[in-house]
Amino acid sequence: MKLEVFCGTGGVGKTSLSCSRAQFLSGQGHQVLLMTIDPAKRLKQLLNLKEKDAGYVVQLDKNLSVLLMSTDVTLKRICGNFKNHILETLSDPYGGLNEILSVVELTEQIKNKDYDYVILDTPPGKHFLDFLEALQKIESFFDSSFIEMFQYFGNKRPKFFDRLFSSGLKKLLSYLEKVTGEGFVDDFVNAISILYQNREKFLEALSFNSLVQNSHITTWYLVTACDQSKSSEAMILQSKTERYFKNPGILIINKCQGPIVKSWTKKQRDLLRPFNQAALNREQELIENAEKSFKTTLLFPELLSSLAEGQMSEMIHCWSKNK
Amino acid sequence: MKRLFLVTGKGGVGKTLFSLALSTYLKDQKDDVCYVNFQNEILPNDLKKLEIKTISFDILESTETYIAKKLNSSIVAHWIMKTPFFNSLLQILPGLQHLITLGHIIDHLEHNPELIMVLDSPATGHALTMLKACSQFKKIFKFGPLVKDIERIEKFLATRNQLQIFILALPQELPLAEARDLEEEIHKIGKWKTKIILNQSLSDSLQELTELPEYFNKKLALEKKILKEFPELPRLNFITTDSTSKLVKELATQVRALV
Repeated sequence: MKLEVFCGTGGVGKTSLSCSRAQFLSGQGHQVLLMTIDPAKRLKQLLNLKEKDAGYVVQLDKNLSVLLMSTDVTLKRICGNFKNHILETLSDPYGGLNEILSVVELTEQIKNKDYDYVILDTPPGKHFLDFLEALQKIESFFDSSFIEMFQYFGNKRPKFFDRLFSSGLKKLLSYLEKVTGEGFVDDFVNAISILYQNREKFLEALSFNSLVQNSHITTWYLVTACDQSKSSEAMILQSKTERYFKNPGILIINKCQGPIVKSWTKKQRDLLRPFNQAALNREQELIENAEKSFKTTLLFPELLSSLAEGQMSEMIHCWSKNK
Repeated sequence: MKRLFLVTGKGGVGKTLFSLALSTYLKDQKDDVCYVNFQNEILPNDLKKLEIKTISFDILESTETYIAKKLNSSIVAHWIMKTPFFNSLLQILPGLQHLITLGHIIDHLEHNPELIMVLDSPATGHALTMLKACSQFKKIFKFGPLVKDIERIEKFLATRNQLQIFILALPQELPLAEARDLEEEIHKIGKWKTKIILNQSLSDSLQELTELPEYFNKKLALEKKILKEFPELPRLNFITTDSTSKLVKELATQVRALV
């Protein structure tokens, strides 16, 4: 199995790129699973997905299966039916568990069926590397705090305060109770024990880390776009990539105009300079920065098909050229 | 009177520059206005020329201050913040962070009745998490002192005309479809005033140019299709300058029609 992970900020075209990649690979005859997280309605329509499909694998055609990630369904599958407000908040698509739940779900799916390719469209983050950092966050969360708490619990619903006698944790919770009121601490202890009882599933998912570090299996795509004006992106790109990419990933620069502009007459170029110079400069800057940190950079042109369907087939065509 | 402007939309549609333009416009109207970047992003140096008042909220600081106030002890608050457990809790409940920041912002607005704040908000999904935070955490905290504070935030946001949400989009099919989805979702959370704005519209400035390459002709045709379908949506014209501060100033003159 090969795993391809698409990371990047919102709005760079991550979902379109991963969808088209999955369609391209399945078109080549490979068995492909595409896991996508909260795409816009328009893209759901494009993939023929309905709201109720969220959380379950849908076979789109002979070669292509799609899983529209639902943190809610995944959490219920792991922990059973619970009634707990804190866990409900956590299973919000943008709650803090979305990354770990995607990883848990993926681990489960890979176990169930043998795919040639699994394409993962990561949850939208603040910047490029949120998903990569999330894996570390998960590890530290389960290591430092959960383990600290779990040590106090047996397998049954804990008599919490009895067990926490004289520990710092008890002091912490009693302070929290003063701020939050009683109900919260009860719910909280309940949430922790639900997660604790199902800890194997979470800890199993941490094996994902070794999977993604294996360069024979995993390819990282970092997606950026020329129309994003945030200069911080380029800086992060340069400073952090080496830390995360033991195997250098592939950078995709999306929405490029450079190749299009080349075919224009000088007069046209002069005429339109005010409208596209900024984007072209950014494009150039991204390409130059990329050379320092990435072995491979793929350029995807800005697509101007009138309909999303047309854009998708243009993108699939780009993948075949970029091979 | 509008006290809080919230600017959201898909990534890359120009939320930050629009928020700054809105702040500039309000400042020129002699309003006491303050720009807040919700994600604490560092803005280009060039923007200092605009002399816009900003406040940055450090989430950890805001939380510590809040807990100290509630417990009447900054030492205990400091200790709580230092525990790895509480730290991870804060990390894993982004809604809680949003709620604390939002509470802090509203503190400022209530403290100073002349103040107007422009909130450069997170993109689509994260904005929904922020807006949902009130009702979600009310469920979590049930009663107790925190709920009173949440209700204070809710009351402020629900007071007629105090909150205006701007959803920025580009005049293209997918970005606009996403903005409309977002508007629908926002209305499910609260009865707030929202307005979709089409940013970087090219049609006025390109109209007169002849011999356009196919690329721009296509782009123009796509935009015209959108404008025909949604003629009621206000739009902002594409600005041709390479200086960010100049761009914001020009955009500010276009904002007039929206506020």
